[in-house]
Amino acid sequence: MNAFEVHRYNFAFLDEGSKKEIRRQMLKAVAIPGYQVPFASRELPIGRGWGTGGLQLTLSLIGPDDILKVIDQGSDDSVNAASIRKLVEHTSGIQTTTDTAEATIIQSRHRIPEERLRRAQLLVLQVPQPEPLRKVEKLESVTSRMHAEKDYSAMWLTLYENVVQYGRITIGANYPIMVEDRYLMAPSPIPRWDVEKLNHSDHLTLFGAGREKKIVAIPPYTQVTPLQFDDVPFQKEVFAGKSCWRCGYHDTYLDEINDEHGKQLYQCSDTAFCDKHAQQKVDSMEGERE
Amino acid sequence: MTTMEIDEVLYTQLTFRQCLDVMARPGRLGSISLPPHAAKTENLSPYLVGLAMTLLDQEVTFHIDHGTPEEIAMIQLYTMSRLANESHCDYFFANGKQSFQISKLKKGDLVAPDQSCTILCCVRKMDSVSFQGLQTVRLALQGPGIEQESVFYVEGLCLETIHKWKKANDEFPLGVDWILVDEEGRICGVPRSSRMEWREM
Repeated sequence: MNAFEVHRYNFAFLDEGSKKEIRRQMLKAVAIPGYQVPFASRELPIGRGWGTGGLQLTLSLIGPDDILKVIDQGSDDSVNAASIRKLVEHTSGIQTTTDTAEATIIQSRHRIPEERLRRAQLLVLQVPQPEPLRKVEKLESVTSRMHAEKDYSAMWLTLYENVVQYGRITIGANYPIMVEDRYLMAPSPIPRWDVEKLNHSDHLTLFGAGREKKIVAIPPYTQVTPLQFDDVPFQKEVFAGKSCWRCGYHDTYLDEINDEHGKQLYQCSDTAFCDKHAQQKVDSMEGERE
Repeated sequence: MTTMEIDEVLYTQLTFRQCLDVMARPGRLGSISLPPHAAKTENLSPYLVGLAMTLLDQEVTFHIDHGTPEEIAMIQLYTMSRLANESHCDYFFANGKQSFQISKLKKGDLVAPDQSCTILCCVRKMDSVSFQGLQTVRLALQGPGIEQESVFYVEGLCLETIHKWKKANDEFPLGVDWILVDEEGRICGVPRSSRMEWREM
């Protein structure tokens, strides 16, 4: 553990009173999977909408023995991830990593790592809009009542209209899910590719929405089902015939990029996963040469 | 910041992580250590005081079942939390040996099920394997957080309480959440989402 600046900050930046409130609400969220628990979102030295919800959960969770990984859209190196990682390092002194397997807490924006998370790991997702019904209803007072009554007919109707108009459900990221057949939930803007990773997972997932002041949880081994019709089943993204230009892996969520000549390429969205596979590829090629 | 304050910061962090882990995996036993400063009293074990220091502050209310003025003052001193009666408290401290009125506690409403009471209850002993004890109960849980079934054994939790417990959590998402702690610091979480079967050993 690096020495943290005791006199300038409380451990992990937030004051203990703030942490207590966030911790209490996290326990409630775990007890009621999929329900949005309100919390008093604190001011942080980053703007709301830049991961303050996830960051507040992370700061309330971490201890000196934790190892933190922060990713943004699968990348460890983007500005948002790097800034959050540095803030946590400076104010807590804990160790950070880019290796998914090594981390005890993973804070992520819009992706779930490709490597299956273990039971001892915690996943914290940054959430811009935790209310799945906001697309169909503007008022919070009404959406609260809809959740209370499990009245999700407006959302079903939207999906049906999608099918009528386009022949398929066109929602990409942030696909609405049912948790334990009770609460409709927005899983944050993760791609459809990642939705099944929430169903009966080994790890606990916590969702923090700083601007909207809500915490949601999906405990391990919880039933998570995407909304779908019997004759129009949920489909995740298809990358048939495509693979990562760097590591050659094909069963992974791919980003479409262009090289300097304008040629279209595909690359693993999860950069740490890609690095591991690229290294394995190099090692096996060297092994073959020997 | 003094060494004592740092100890308390790290103590509450570690204790909370245990609470979170056992609440996310109902029926699995965790372990907490003794708080930096707390004495055992008639109705409060030092571990319960540790849970209070971890979760309570001036924003929430508590009630101690059969609590003495000294015990109430101690919790107020350590946490700055406010005393409330059974039907309004956010945290209810109980001794598992004695039956209490769970039906009086807040269960939330359908719009805000989180506005409910959490029971912090001390029992004599808990284990994941069967053991010989006075009136030991086998509890089997199913639901979120549990792969198939989670079983644990408790000594020092009266049968009447278990009857009332099951009834109080019949209408998910309404209900009360439990954190049990034994005399050796083993803790177990049972959220309202758990379906419970029990039998006396």
